[in-house]
Amino acid sequence: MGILDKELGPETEGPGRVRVDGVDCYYIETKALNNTQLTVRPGEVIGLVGPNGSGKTTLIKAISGVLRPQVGIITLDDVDVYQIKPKRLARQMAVVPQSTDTFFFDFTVEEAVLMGRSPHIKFLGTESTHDFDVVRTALEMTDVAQFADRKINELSGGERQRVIIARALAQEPKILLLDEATSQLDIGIKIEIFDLVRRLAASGIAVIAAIHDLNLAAQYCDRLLLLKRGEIIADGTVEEVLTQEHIAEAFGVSALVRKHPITNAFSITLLPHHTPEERSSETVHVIPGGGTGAPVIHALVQKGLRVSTGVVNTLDTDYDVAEYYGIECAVEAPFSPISADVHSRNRQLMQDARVVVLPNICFGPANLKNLEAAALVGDKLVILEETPIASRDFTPGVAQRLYGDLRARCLVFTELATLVEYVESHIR
Amino acid sequence: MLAGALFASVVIGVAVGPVWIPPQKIAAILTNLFVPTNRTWSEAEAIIVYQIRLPRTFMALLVGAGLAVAGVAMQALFKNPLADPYVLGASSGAGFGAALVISLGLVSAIFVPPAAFAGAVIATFTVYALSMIGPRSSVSLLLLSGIALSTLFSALISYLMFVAGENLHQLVFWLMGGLWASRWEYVEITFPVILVGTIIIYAYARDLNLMLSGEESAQHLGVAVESLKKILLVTVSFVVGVAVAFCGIIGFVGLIVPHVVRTFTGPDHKALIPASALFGGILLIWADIVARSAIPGSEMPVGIITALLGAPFFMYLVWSRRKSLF
Repeated sequence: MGILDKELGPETEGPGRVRVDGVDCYYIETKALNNTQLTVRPGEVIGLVGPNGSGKTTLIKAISGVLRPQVGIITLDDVDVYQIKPKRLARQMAVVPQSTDTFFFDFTVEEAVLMGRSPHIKFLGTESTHDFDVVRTALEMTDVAQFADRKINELSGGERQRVIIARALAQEPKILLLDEATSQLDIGIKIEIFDLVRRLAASGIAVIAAIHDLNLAAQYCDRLLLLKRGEIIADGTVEEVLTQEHIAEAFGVSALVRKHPITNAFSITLLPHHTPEERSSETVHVIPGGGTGAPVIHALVQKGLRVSTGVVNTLDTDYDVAEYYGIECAVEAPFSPISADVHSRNRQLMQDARVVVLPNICFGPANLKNLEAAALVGDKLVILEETPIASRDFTPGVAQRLYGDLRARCLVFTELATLVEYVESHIR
Repeated sequence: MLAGALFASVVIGVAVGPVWIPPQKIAAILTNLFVPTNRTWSEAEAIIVYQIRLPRTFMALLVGAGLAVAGVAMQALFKNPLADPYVLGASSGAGFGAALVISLGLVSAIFVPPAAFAGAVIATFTVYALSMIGPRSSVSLLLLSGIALSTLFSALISYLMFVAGENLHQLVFWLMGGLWASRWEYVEITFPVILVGTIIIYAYARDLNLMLSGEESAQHLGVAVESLKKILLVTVSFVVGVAVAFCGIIGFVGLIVPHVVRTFTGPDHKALIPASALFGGILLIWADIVARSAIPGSEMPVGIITALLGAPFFMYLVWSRRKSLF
């Protein structure tokens, strides 16, 4: 019953290798983890990513000894975690939980952090000066030393969470588990805490962190585990895990994954919605240009309309969007004028379309052909005009003249929303 | 300071009653037990001091201390400011046990205390068993089962009272709680149980502090949560069982005392537990003094006094914490 734990000295404690082997976990009857496999190396920062309910927190609970797996085993230095006495486990492993509003009565910050020393204090023992030194260091590392004598419930959420992190550090763990520990904190504090995490990892501590923010995970983790409904669907480096396909599979949303050209850091932009099922059999053609077509394409696709576009250059943002949505597209090499056969393919696309949209694009010698093609489609052309053509014409007046003709005989919208509404009502 | 107050309370507790016995006389009577002293008192006074008031005051001290410490443990264990030692149905379980034997006409010190004690322990363990989800007990289930079981036992007690007939008065008096029956033999049983109980709870002061940050956090900080719960529930049911067995159901001491003391000592159980024990003892001694002197020539159950103090305090507690609770 753990009344008088006969504790082994710290010298017998191992390096802190965690292995999760074929683990299934249940909450009462709901399966929350399925055949999970994981080996954690000392000094490694592992990010657990995935949507809510994917099993990130469950995995952390299972590893930390509070949710016993029904199948499989979790070991710390080859000993079953659930056979290790909580006190001994707490000297090896510390956990920072998700919420911070769990303090029932009012301890001071220092008292709260001192609690982190309790696994090192014998039953009925008292704190030594060494314990206070460790607490002092932990307070300084997390930058809460100035609050040491304040009541913990008087602090802001972010400050309180740093105190909880300090308490975890006071345990001097070999493994630190963070369960979305920073999700409620300001971005500045998040960065501060993850910088600290990197320093801890450099000193040999293994960190397993459930992280909601994919960019944060990409920036700070050596390794990511992507979970979906209790399964690890990807395990590897940031580059290996955060692919468009994986993100789409796990989150059911589309994302643009980029490497920042300067920092080489990953950036993941989740696009706002699902790509809806295409509901229309007829297409709407959007004439692209320098990214101005992108919002129109996006808006139309979101309405479930089938969209085509062209001619677009491969380095154009409009091209990225077209490729991302996988829509039909007449493509030209970067910075090249439109070649004859791409032009004719584009004209074919326009011909097939029920409506052709001319967004508020700029015209230059390179894309003038698109405007000429538009002039040939007749009354199915609609125009989105947000700024006067004069400011968008980089040809010696040619585009302006042509545009003027079209404008005289076509429907002209000044707002994207009304244009989309019109197009939607015309296409089935 | 509390210890001084406790000593003064004991002296006053012995001095006050239908017959006032001055402290010097008390001192002389007690000294005479060990060293023969000049007789300045009557035989009746000696009997009142030694046979009646002293065991009664000690009993108040012990039961007050025990209930207060049990209250501290329950509030930390359940992370609930409204928890008290009776929350697990221990009181109504004990009440039922006592009521059962009383209604059978076994109105005797041989039968009532063991029956009450058995009732308390059975109730506590039933509630604990009901609250288990897999290997863990859920705090909210524990509280809910406690309420359910209390209601059941209360209904059974009411039924027994309904059919009790001539033993009704005895039963009612016992259920309202009182120290009038205190004897040295009871003190001899109560003292070790409450002393050991308090020491056990105090030994887990650090773990109780950790429990305040939540069960999982406590485990992450090295507390063997389920063992702690079992040890403390057993301890509390023994303490409550012995208190209820000899003194009936004395409510609210276990609820108020920890809260009052916490405002002075803070939440640290290393200070809170001993201070609550002392303050609980003092409170019950004074409640008993009031109970036996408020109505001349008669005596109220002390449970009425503690309830009169406790219920308004309880309301105040709800009122002052309504923001933090909801």
